[in-house]
Amino acid sequence: MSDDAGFYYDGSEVHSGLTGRLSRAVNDHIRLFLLGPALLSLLVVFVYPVGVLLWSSLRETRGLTNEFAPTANFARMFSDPSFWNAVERTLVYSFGSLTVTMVAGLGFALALNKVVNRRVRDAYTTLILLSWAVPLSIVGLTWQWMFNGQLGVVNRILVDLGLLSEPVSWLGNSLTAMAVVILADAWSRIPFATIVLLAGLQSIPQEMYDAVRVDGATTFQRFRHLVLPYLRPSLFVAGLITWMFAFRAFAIPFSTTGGGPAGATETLAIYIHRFGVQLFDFGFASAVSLFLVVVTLVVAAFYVTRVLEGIREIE
Amino acid sequence: MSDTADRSREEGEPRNEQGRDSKVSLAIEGVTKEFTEDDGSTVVAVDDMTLDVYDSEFIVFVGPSGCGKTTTLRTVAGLERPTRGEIRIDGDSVAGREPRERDVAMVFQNYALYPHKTVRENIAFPLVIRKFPDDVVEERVAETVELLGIGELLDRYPSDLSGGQQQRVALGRAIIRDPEVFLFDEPLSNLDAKLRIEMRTELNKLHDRVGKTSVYVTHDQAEAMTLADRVVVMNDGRIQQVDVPEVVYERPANRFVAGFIGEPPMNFFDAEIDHAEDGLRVRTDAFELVLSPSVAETVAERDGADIVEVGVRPEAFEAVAHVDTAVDESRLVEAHVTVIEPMGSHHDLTLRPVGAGDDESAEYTARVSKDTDAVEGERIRLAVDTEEVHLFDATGENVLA
Repeated sequence: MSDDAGFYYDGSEVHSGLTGRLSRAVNDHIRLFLLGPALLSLLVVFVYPVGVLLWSSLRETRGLTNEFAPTANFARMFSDPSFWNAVERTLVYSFGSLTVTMVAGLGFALALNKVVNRRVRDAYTTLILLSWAVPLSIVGLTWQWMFNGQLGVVNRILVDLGLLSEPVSWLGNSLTAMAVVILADAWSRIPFATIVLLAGLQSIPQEMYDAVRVDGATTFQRFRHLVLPYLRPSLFVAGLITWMFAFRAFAIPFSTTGGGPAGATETLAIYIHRFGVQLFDFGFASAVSLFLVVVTLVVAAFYVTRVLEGIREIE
Repeated sequence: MSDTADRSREEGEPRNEQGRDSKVSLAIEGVTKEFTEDDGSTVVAVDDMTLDVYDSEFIVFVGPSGCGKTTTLRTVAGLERPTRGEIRIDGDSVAGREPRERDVAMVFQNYALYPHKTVRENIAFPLVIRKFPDDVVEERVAETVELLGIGELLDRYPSDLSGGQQQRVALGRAIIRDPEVFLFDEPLSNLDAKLRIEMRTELNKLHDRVGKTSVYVTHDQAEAMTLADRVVVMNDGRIQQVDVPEVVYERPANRFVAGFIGEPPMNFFDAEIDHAEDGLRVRTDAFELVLSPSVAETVAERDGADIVEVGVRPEAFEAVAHVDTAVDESRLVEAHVTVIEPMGSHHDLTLRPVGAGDDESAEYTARVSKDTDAVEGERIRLAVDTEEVHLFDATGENVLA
């Protein structure tokens, strides 16, 4: 600060005028000035949109009508079987992706943790992380092509190996289509789970591995009595975050199947997109969005509580 | 000295009575362990080591860090595979066996308790995973905690315990298995000084009661001396000396052992030796001594022994004023006192030879009785106990040991 900062450390103020008053205001409200920008951006990108969402969810916007009808959209939502079907599909999708992600992530983490040579391990870790860098819509398109009924590489390989007699229309069948989008979704989330679980594994002291071996544990007992308890916090963090993102997934199912066939892979996010963007029913789309936000917030609040508990324990 | 003279046993024989004629519980036979570094070079951690540990004996491996003592222990445990050589436990070769297939229990430096298990579950763990029936487990846990006096801790978690309590639980987890051999990897080094001494005494008592073969690794010579039936001094992957603590102290096999065991460490002086009529004349920059004819005889027996260094422990000095018998010239030393460190029961003096001028590297230490009239900067006259002078040849071997 320059000479006319107007504030000495003994508390005396010697300057008046604009800069003097400004610096005094900054000093008096230092928290506001430091936290202000962050709070402001939160206000703009979160609180305001949620307000708008809430407002539009209270309006009936079907067809040409656009009027205030606070319960109409919610009543319709909860009584509409298509909404509940979308919820069910979203649960299948998110828990399917969660399961595949955690199992594969744990497998990769355990394998990477076994690699003694650091350079080799770093190379593998980088490769696994690369799939994280791929934009989700590109992931969807890639998987769509891989499982393409006529030209897809998966059909080609399976037919060449003689496992299939003729190409299968993977994305044309509701069951296989769901499996493909779940796999694609999991593929994009495995790196995150792997990194978190690998960090968890590396927090286990070498001495504990030695102790459990001398104590007489078999490989499975070592995993159950040593590795798993140590990994619990990492599993919790990786699992919850993976599920939260998978529950709101849009890009992958949308770019892979567009929600098809016949809505078989239509997650809530695509469902919202259909009503809001394609059918211009903003009120109903907002109501469903609000549902999505609330569910996610509840889970997130649970997560934050656990994390804060953890911090308090460390303190 | 008389204590040593009484001991007419061979090196390597166990001290405790029950061990004297007893079986070999653990045999290390020509074990070599090499590690390959990241850059491809090979490091020999343990070099062709052979040692028999007798039943119920307490063996302590001591040496500086990196001397191979922990690697040896881990090889016995089965956590490392020897590059060459063989381990036998209770007569059976354990080559290729997993740690759980060996009858050994281990106590670790950082306790290595399972943080998610209670004290009870930690202690019971080795039995539980071996599927012992519940009532047996319960009974053995009760016995073990009574032995260790930790009954009131059973339902606590390791993070709620002090270091000493944690190490007791770790001991319990080892004891409950009733193994053929106990392995200790610097178990006391994470405790504070006072607790370490307490636990040392407790380990001593515990071994008297449990009476199992134990191999204990430490870099702390006080632990080695107080706990061991026999001390194994190691350096550079090789055994330097194996013997009871008193012999290791009084008759160190070589210069390394002489310098490593003893606190403050032994003083070493470059020396010239003359055979004289009255005995062996030893000339150094600090003093000139005449050693007894018997020493001269021993040296003469070792024909061609090229003595280049003498070692004198700080304890082998005493102020002339405090020596009862007359001190003749042959064992008199004069020096400048540069530092006096009062230790309570005695004084540690840092001395500089009279002719050394400002040469700090010529300084040596003497431990004298606490009422010695030493003044910093003044001269002092000391008598050397010539029975406790060690002679080392060019290879570092102790000529008199």
